[in-house]
Amino acid sequence: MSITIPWSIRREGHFDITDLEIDPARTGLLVVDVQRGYTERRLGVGLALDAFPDVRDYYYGRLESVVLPNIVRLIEVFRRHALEVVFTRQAFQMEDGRDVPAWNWRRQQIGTPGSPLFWAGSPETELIEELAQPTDLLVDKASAGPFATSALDQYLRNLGIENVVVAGLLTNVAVETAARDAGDCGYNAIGVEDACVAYTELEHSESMNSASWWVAKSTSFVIDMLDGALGA
Amino acid sequence: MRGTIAWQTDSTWPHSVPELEIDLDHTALLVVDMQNPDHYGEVTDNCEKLIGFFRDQGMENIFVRVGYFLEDRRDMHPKRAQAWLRSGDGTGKTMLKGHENQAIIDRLTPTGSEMVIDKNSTSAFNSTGLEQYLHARQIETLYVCGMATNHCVDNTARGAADRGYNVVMVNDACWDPSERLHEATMRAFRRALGTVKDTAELLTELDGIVSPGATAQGDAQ
Repeated sequence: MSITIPWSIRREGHFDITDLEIDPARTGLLVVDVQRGYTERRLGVGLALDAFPDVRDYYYGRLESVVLPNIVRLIEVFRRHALEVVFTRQAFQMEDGRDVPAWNWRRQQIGTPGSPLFWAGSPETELIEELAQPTDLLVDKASAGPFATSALDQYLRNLGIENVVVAGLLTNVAVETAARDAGDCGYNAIGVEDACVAYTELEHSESMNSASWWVAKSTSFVIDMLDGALGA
Repeated sequence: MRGTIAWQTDSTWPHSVPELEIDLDHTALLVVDMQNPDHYGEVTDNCEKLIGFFRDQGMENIFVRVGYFLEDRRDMHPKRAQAWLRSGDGTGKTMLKGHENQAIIDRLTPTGSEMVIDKNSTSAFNSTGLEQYLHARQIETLYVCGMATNHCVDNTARGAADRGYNVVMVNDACWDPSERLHEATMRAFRRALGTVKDTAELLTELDGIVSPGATAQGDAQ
């Protein structure tokens, strides 16, 4: 089964694919780094963001009022159609962080009181209970994008996924890197613009408008696409 | 030879790492997709300066080239193959390996002892043995220049940062058809994934590591 959806790689002075034929049954949802260390105001980056009140207020405001509700909607639709929901976590395997790139470990320590930082056994790495199920694939990573430090590419192929819908945190870091690599590896990659958040509105919009071999769509677009093709 | 360089100097931003120690014996310049025809103006000038400096210092220059290996482009992923058919002269063959447009532009031509790696993807890590080469050469820090900023340069730089390299994007040695997209890449990169410097700034900084006290000696004379 295949459907044609509007695609369009929106790049000034570059190439453009107006329509794309996809098999909707081979769509998977990639939920990036939606974990307590990024979603709770008193945990993980929330502690560092206290020093940056403008960033903190924007980030948690959008996360709580727009992004998390849309991620809930997306997960519900994917489950209803028996499509895969895959979670990634920023989760280091070693408590002293020696499995993390040195520059990134140093970055984690700056302005983030308390330790361990995003160690795989810490509360910062726990997923939100209502979102994830034990039967979902969970991929831990020590990089911004999930492809560089995990076998995600192989797992997506094993799961039969051709279309990757990416949602989560932060738009211009982990989400964009995931979408860029997915697109570059040949997946039809869709970033969901109202299901992710950056530290500022400018960074979010710049990221969503700099689509490389991926495109930005809305939560409603993804839901309508799946319900339209697979039955509401 | 070790030295400290300024890193994420924006102290108004969460998690900024102000400076970083690097080792020039484990540092390389990565020149991304600077291929014919050359219409990149000052960006080419700056790439030439960088390549010359790294070459003079006995540091590694690595060139990557984008293109494809089969005439019908089926070695690329389908969307890429489809979009590229519409580019260039309409034959879809202008970036075939061996075509003059797949060659590095004359002014930046690598020496016989500089590595050239061909890719058919956007990120140089997604279709080549670049990572193996960087491991073999024990590279830890990469200065990245080339085109297009928001496309192959961005994807390659993200790929390098994700694999643990210290990545410096060279702002005025990267080119994009869109100034807006160029700025977007630099803003995201300098805040989260690495740092961004201009050519003159980084050459002065590296000179200070290569020739410590050179300025002071000059004053004494």
